[in-house]
Formats: sequence, structure tokens, C-alpha cells
Amino acid sequence: MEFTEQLALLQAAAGDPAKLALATADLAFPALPPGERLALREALAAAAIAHWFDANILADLLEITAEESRVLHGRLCQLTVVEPFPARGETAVNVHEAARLALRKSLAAERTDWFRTLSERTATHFAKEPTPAARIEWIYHRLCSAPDEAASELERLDRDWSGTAHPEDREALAVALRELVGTGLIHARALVWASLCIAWVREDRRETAQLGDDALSIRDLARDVRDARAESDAESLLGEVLQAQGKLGEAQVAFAENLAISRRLAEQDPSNAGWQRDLAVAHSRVGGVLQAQGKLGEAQAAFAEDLAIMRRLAEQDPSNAGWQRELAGAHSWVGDVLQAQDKLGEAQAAFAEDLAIMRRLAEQDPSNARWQRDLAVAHNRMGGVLQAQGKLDEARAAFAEYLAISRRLAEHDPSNAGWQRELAVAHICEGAVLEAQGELGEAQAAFAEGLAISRRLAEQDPSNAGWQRDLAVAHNCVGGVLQAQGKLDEAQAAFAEALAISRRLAEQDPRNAGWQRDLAAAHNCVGGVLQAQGKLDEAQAAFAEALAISRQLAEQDPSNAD
Amino acid sequence: MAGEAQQWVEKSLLQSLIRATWLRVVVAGQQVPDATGAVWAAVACPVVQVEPPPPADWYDYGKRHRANLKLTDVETACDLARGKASLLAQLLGPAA
Repeated sequence: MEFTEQLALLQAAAGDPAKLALATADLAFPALPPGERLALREALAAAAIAHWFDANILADLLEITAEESRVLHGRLCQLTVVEPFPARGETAVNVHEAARLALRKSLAAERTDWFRTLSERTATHFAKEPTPAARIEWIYHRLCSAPDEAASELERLDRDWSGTAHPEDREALAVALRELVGTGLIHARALVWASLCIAWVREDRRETAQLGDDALSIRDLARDVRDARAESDAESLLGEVLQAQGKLGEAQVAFAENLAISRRLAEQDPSNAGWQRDLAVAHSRVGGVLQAQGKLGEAQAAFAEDLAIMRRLAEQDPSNAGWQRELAGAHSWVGDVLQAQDKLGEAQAAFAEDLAIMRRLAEQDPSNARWQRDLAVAHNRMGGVLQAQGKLDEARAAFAEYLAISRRLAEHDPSNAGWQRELAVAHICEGAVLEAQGELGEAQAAFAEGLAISRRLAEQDPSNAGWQRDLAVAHNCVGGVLQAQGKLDEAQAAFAEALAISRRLAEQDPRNAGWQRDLAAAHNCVGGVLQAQGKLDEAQAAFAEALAISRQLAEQDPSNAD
Repeated sequence: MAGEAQQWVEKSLLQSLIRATWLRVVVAGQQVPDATGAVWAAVACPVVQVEPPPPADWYDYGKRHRANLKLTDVETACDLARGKASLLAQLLGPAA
């Protein structure tokens, strides 16, 4: 092929990125017979379907012999648009990102049937491999070849992975799905479930408060395509978003919708364990928002439903780590509400169940950061209930475990807001037990660590009411330990910060009993330090504010022992 | 840079720079990680924008492999390839 012919080839491409990418085959091998050059172009187009390929994958894609594939693979490796991908094997390579996406888009638009066939062959190749990378590749190509069936497969995969997968694998799945959504190659149910998976991964990283628009658009799309399971999941996501934004009433409506759909589906097909699990989760979410509103009796009933279902599922299939994890979570919810009702012995028993399960899972796979995080939280809950019973040494040991795991996780991925938050809470818990043991200097240092992280999180995402609440708690803790050391002016300043935040939150959603309680506690703290400073009139005014709020809360829910 | 590699660079490699202050990492490509809001932003240098080589540079490169190459042909090639370096390298570089 002469240089002028090569230029003519580029001219014919007319700037089309897919055609320009294919032209590299002709430019690299101008001496090959036209038939072989055409085969190379076809191989390049097919190779662009997968994120990476080797001779085996290429053979499966093109349904050619191993020898033919070896020759084509060798030639493709000499193209400048193909680069090594050593993470997937010594001979693994991939088509450059921009060229790959352009070729996929062009194939999907101009040779739709061939695009589907290649996608199905790629999916079939990866279906045999159990590794997370292969599962991601499998579902990615299934969504392109058989989108409707694949949407249900993705639903199951995500459900399985939500309980058992390493967070980095779920994030890798979200990255692949984001690419697919971005290229506009999937629609309808496939798009709904891909969008849900992406959103839940962000929720897992506690980016929840920023997901409002996503949750609404996914729910609307799920309704359009009449996918009740997806609609229910989107309602649940919306509830999480609203709860993170502090809108408990609206969150309760969304969670109630999630529960109603989940119940209907579970009744339709009681043998579907996945839908039973979804029903259990829906109960726990309703329980969570009821508890946040101070409705402890109703919350306890919801958590009991969750626990009953998860216990049944875990008994049916004890080898399912996902069910075990959900069961541990169900115990912890029950423990939480029992503790809030001052039933400390029963709460400790529930937390012990949670801790035992999570310890077992974490031992099974110590590299699973999700299980490590759950184990850390189980230690925290145990520490809390021990401290409430005055067992300070045991509580301190539990919090030390919590802190050690949380620190390791936060160092592993400092961008994960959820893990940063755990670290902040761990410092605060450690400080609280140190303070209770009279080690005020150490307690102050621990609170300061917690405060610094909470401040950073609150600045990063001011729309997250939970971060604001954490910041108020941290200020309160700092104020308390300063007061205990007789540093009254500094304590007053810290309490004032906490009061300002608590007041803002309580005004934002007056129905949020937790925030009302926080506001009452903040007034009490301010009153206490004013009293210590001899400012008795001001102290009385602050205590009166606290009393008024507490009275109102007690009237709302006489079963609440707080 | 995209996908899995992007995840690893942004979530693992660059974050480790906060502690490994002795380490220098240069990331080059059409897309580089955005430091805005990232935890490693404080230890990142500003992005240096590199322009694609002009036709004259490609001509110097191509002449080594094609003795009778003309600058006007290279200018045409750069235009038709929309400046894509991978394509021009394939066209003007050594034969496979």
C-alpha cells in the first residue's frame, strides 16, 4: 500500500474516530493482502467489545481456531491503539479507551446484530470464571446482548454482592456500569438496574445526601418500565437520601412505599429468597426512620420482623455469608432499640449475637473491608451498651477494637466518607470512656481527633444532616471535658457551637425526635456551664428550654426511657 | 486513563502520596485525575497542558522511516488524522 493510498484511507474516514481507529490496521500492515487486512480490521472491531483480550478471548469472540487467533492477536499487539494490560495476564492487551468506546458505539449503531452477537460471545467467555473481574465483564456484556434478562441478573448479582463482596469489587462494578450508562448503549430495565447499582455504591460511601436527583429519576424510570422491584429499590434509596438530609417524615413515606412493594412481591413468590431478604431490609429501614423519630415501640416491631425473616433465611442456607451478615445487622437494630428503651441486658445479648456473627465472617475473609467495617461497628455497639452499664474497662476494650479497625479502614481509603465517619465516632467513643474513667487529658485529645474529622466531613458535604449532627456531638464532647477540667470559658464556646448546629437541625425538621433530644441536651450543657460560672439567670433560661423540649418528647412517646 | 486504572490511581496510588512524601508520581495522558476536592489535592502540582507535536516534528520523525517523505504530505496526514498521535505514529513510524 502506497503512502498516497494510506492518506486516501484517512480521508475516507472523514474524522470518524471508529474508522480512524480501524485504519491503524491498514497503516500498520500495508504489505498484507487486502483480505488479511480486512480480517485484522474485523478482529480489531471485535477486540474493542471487551475491556481486555488475549488469544483465547479473541478465538471465542470470532469463533476461530487457536492458531488463527494467535496470529491475529500477535498482529493486533503491534497496533498503536492496542496496549498491554498486565493486570489481566501476561498476554492480555486492550484497545485504547477512546478507540474502544468509539468502535463499540459504531458497531452498536451500524451493525447492531453483530454487536449483540459479539457481546453475547464475550459474556459467555467470562461466564465460566468466578473472579469478580470476570463477573463484572460478564454482566457488562450481558447488558449489551440481552438487556432485559441481564437486568434481572444484575439485580441478583448486586443483591449477592451487597452482603458479601469486597467494597473495591462493588466499586469496580459501578465503574464499568457508569461507562455503559455514559455511552448510551443501554435503556429501559437495564438502565434502571445499572443506575441503581451505581447509586447504592455511592450510598455505601455515604455520599447519600447528594443522591436526591438520581433517586427520583431512577424511580420514575422504574415506573415507566413497570419494574416493581426496581421501583421499590429506588424508593428505598430515596428514603435513605431524605433521611440523610434530615427529612424524616418524607423518608418514612418513601420507606413505607418500599415496604408495601416488597411485601407484595414477597407474597407473590414466597420461595424467592432474594425478595424475602428485600422485605427484611425494607422492615429495617422503616424501623430506622421510626427510631430516629423517637417511636421506639413501632421501631422495635419493625426490627423484629426484619430479624424473623433474616433468621429464617440464614437457617435455610447457613453457608450464605450475605444472609449471615444481614442477620447480624438485624440483631444490631434490635439491640439499638432495646438500648434506647434502657433494656441494657437484652440489648447486650442482641449485640453479642451481632458481634459473634461478624467476628466469624471477618475471620473467614479478613481482606473484606465491608465485613471489617461491620465488625468495627459491632464492637462499637457492644462498647456503648457496656459503658451504659458502667462496665468501663470492658467498654474501653471494645472501643479500642472499634478504633483500631476504623483507623485501618480510613487509612486504606481516605476518600471513603463512611470510613472517615467511623473513625471520628471511634475517637469520640474512646474519649467518652476515658472521660468516664477520669483520664481527662487523654479524653480531650481523643475528642479533638473526632472533632477534626467531623468538621472536615461537614465542610465537604454541608447537605448531609448526619455529618452536621456528628459535628455537634463532637463539640459537645469537647465542651464536656473542658468543663470537667474547669476551663469554663472554652467549654462554653464549644457548647455554643453545638447548640447552634442542634438548633439549626431541629428547625429544619421539628418532627425529628433525635434532633429535638439533641437540642434539649445542648441547652442542658449550656445551662450547666453557665451555672458553674455563676450566671444563674442565664442558666435557668437554658434549663427551661431543655425542660420544655424534653417534656414534649416524653408526651410524644411515654415508652421511651431516654 | 479510565475505568479500573483510574480507580486505582485516584483511590490508592495518589492517596498514598499523603503519607509517602518522598514519592513523586507523574501521570500523563489525554485525561488526568482532577485534584479538585481530592484528599491529595494539597500535595498535587498544577496540570501541565502538553500540545500535540506540530507537522514539522512528525516530518522529522517520519523521514527516518521514509526517505522520500514530503512535509506537505505530513501536513495533510496530520489534518486527516485529526492530530491523533496513535494514528500518525502508525503511519509515519516503522512498518510492523
